[in-house]
Amino acid sequence: MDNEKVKLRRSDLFTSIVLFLLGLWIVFESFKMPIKDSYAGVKNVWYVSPALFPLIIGFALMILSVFLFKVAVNAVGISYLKKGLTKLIKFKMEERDLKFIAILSLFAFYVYLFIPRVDFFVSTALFLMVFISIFYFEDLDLFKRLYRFFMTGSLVLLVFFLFKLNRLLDESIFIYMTDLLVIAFFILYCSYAFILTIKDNRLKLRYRTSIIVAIVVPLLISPIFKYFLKVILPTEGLVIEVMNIIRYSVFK
Amino acid sequence: MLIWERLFDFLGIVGNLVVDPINILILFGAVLMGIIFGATPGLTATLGVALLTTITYGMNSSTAMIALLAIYVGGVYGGSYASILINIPGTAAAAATALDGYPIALRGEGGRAIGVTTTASAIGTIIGMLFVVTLSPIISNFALQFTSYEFFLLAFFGIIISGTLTTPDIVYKGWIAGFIGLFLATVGRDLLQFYPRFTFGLAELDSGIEVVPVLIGAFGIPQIIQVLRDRTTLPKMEKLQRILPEFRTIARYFVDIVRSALIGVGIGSIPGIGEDIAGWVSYGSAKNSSKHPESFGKGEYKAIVSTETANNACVGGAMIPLLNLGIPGSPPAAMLLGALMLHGIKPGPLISFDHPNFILEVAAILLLASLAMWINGILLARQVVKVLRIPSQIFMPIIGVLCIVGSYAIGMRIFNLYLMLPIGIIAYFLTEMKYPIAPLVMGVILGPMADENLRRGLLISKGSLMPIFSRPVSLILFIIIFLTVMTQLPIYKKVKVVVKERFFNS
Repeated sequence: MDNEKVKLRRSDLFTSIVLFLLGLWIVFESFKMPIKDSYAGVKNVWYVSPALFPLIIGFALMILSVFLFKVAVNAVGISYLKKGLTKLIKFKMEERDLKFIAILSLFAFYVYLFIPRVDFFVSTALFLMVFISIFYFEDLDLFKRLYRFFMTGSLVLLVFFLFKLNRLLDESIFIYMTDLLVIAFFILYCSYAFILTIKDNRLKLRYRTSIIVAIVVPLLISPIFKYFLKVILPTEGLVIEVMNIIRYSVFK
Repeated sequence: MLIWERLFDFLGIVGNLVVDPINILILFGAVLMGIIFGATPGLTATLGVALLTTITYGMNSSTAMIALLAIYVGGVYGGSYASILINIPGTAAAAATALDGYPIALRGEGGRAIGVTTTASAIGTIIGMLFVVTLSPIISNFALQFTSYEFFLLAFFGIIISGTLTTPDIVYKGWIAGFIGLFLATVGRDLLQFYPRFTFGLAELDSGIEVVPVLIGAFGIPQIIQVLRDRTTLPKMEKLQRILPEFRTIARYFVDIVRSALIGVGIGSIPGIGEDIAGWVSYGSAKNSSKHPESFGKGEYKAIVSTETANNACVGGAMIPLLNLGIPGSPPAAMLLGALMLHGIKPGPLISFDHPNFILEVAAILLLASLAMWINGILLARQVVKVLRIPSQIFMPIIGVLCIVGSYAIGMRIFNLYLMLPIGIIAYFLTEMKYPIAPLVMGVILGPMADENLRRGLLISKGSLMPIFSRPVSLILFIIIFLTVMTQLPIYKKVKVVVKERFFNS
């Protein structure tokens, strides 16, 4: 068996356990559903119960995960379970893993933190600028520095949002204060990236491209969705309001 | 008489579609977009259809279908560009094309290879379209006699066969992916009693998990992560010369085209099996039928003609079960099903009654899309391949934004975004561990059909499963499912050995 297959079977050993537990959970939850008793005035029989199909799925997942477990055990042995856990504890992050975590956290912050609270244009421009620059510069050291900068800023903003300080600022100072704050973060990020890339002509060019794409793309997407497809954007703040003013003063 | 009537109806629909300049604009634009999506490694026809669904949401159903089928056809064809010019398949559908396409490009005949694949793809699509027109009335008439059990078994068959044939590793993974999809489909209030299942008390989950965000997450997020994590620069592109239709070369491989188109339509019509398998099967069959199989892999035109005809004929094939049974024949067709439902069109045996000319309209769009694809391919291929020079580090984050805004645009629910991302991440891990995504998608799409029809069937028969064995179609489906599952289990091999020893060795 080649190395790739062995690796696969090792991960199958663990995933089969996770899948078995998922199946078990589905079955457990299904038994809470009305099987023979009445629900909403309807007297149930087992064959029309809402639990019937999830029960089939749960049991099928459990059986298939046992089969998968058997294949994995035959290939790498049950003893790998213990070894694998020790390996997991001693996990050493490689470049691939760092990139994966970076992509994941970028998406997570964009979807869960910025989109619901910050102007769509601003949050998209920030997301694109960070996403493009950290990968497009093709320099691991820059990648780490820029990613760290973004994470620090985002975590500060996370605390800011958790304590609902954004509402406080928006209500007491200026209605779009949160947007201004994130715009300031965007400018700070761009300035930091500029300082890091200024000495290298190749990087300077890539920096410029990143910034242009980060601004042009939301500048195209936002009006297309808002005015052409009539989609109300998730958060319409400062920039979208400016777009509204332009749109309705030019095309009355 | 009936044939002539249908032909006139068909020509009338084609005429109606082409007289509207907006339709033509959308047709060419969507085909071009599809070609770009297909040509770019990491982007697929399914993702293209998924993203465009969100844009076509507000259009009327005819215009939306033009856009979606055009991007589908263009996406399947566009994959050949990257296969031929950089030896990396633009989509899985064009993987088999790379084996011989790239050696041809190395010989300095890249332009000729793309000319050949362009014409072969157009012919493949048209042959697929002919099958949609001719087989649809027969299948939908036959399916009118289906009862709940047949529909339940058909949905189940779709998931099992898709899991069996698309798995890149052991078969259990394909089935597990299918059952995970089925589980996702059970989330929300059930269709018969309105009981909330796995909703965790969240009102947003009451109406269930929407199909479009699931598809965008499952096909978009893993691709973005994989491309940026593992590969950032594409290999140098081979030179591309002037592109001509290459009718002479095509005429020389007429028999291969017919055979490959039949393979494409056949594989396309099997639920959940995509264009990639059609390409590989057709490649194998071309090699087996060749007088010089040793020349395969070294730049054989017969190979690229066969693979490209088959994968585009698969588009028509995939539409047959989709339109007549409501079962998608391929992952992009699954996305089309989601789009059709958004437009209030419910595919199935009754489609000819609910929307009398819909199947002919689909066929007309396929014909126009294949022509638009051919014209785009011949005139613009040299410009389109420039997209391969755009660094993926720029392209992929933009796709990420489109995935997010697309998931949100359907229904304008931020909750869709909250779901799309975890589903995308789960799909990524599943892909990394060699679980196929197609059965998962099939599970999500066919779950409600399987659940509802099983319980409806049991309700009518008062809990008895006997109708499965007393009705011929359901019995055949049951036997196929049973055999598909049994032949994959280790016990089957043991039984086979015992039977062989006992009955054939003595």
